[in-house]
Amino acid sequence: MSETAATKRYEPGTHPDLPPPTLSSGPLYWMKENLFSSWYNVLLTLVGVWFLWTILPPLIEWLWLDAVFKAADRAECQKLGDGACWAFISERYKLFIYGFYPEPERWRVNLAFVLLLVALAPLLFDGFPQRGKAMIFSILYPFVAAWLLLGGMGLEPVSTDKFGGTLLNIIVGVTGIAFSLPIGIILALGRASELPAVRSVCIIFIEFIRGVPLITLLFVASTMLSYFLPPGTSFDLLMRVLIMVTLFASGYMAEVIRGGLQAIPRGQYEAADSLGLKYWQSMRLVILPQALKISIPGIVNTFIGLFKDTTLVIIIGLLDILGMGRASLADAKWAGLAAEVYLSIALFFFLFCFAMSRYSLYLESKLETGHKT
Amino acid sequence: AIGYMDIVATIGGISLMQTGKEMETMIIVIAFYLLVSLIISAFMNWYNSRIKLVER
Repeated sequence: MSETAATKRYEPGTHPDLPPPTLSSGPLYWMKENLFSSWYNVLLTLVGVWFLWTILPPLIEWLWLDAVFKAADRAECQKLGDGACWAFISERYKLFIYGFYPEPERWRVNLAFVLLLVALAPLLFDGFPQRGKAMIFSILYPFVAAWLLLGGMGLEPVSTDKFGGTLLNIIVGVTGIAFSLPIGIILALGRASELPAVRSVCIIFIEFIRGVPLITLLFVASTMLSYFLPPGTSFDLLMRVLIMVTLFASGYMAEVIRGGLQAIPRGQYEAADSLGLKYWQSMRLVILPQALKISIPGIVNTFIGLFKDTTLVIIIGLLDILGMGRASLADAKWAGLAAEVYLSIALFFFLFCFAMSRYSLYLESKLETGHKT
Repeated sequence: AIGYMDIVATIGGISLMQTGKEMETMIIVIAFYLLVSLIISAFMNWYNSRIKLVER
């Protein structure tokens, strides 16, 4: 081979590496692979880009750039800008959050919420310092919260018909979630038991509770319970609602956990028996950890659904955040602001439900013991 | 809730308001839902026992 000025000879194995082809790494590569890889992908990309182009700029303008954050009433809001009228929310947000809870006592609600986060943290996260002692507070928390919110010894009593807004949603949601899980586990185990009386009672309860909509159960709780109780007794309405919502959720939870229990092979039960474990020990140490781990997506799904179902209390006259929103829309000064109100309510629910959903993913990846490749 | 007159709005809303008999109207609504749900549940449980893993 003759050498010219443009070529250079290398010994075999010593040639330097050439740079990679231009479109094989970096952002252009990503775009080529994911957005433009075949003709229908190109089409979909163009449709998607067109869609975003027409929707996003007007949306951002309405939501934020042209929006009015402080005004006295609707007319002034329209004068100041033609975006969303968030001034309505910034004036009314305390009503949305606390309901009719008396103004000077609202620090108790704030304290109860902060203590809720403090009580939940050791239960939810592993590396919490002093976890054992912190869990004692978590067990005492319901009583502390009841004392703070209802009043009684030392604090001004507040009757439960003043509760409203997100306070009501969170109370009903947290109570329903916290108590439905143990009751649901017990119902699921009872349905799978071999004792016919226990099994039939559990089956009848679960099928009845699951077969009826929550609205009718709330109606029963509010109006019809007086037929079944001795005349003259009257339970607090909020207490009846809490019991009904908890029973409703535990019916659904029992079926979700039954699905998890079905996935446990018979060998696990036999292994637990061969170790000499009694029924409750084998459940607690062998069966339930596996069953609950499998059913985490279903359980968190039920929790999220329950939290959003708490808005149904509007049927019996308790004004949760949706009830407060609707009541505020009737104000003449601020007529016609339905979009802002419902968007704020949607944001509240989205924050809580998305947090629960992300926690569930964290929990699943923490408990993942490598069975999947 | 958004204006469609389903069974809860007709029997459980209008009839309840006009007659004032909460117990009877709610029992009708509950019975309807229970019937549909129990049929679905029975079918699914039968199907579940059919496709369960057969073990010793």
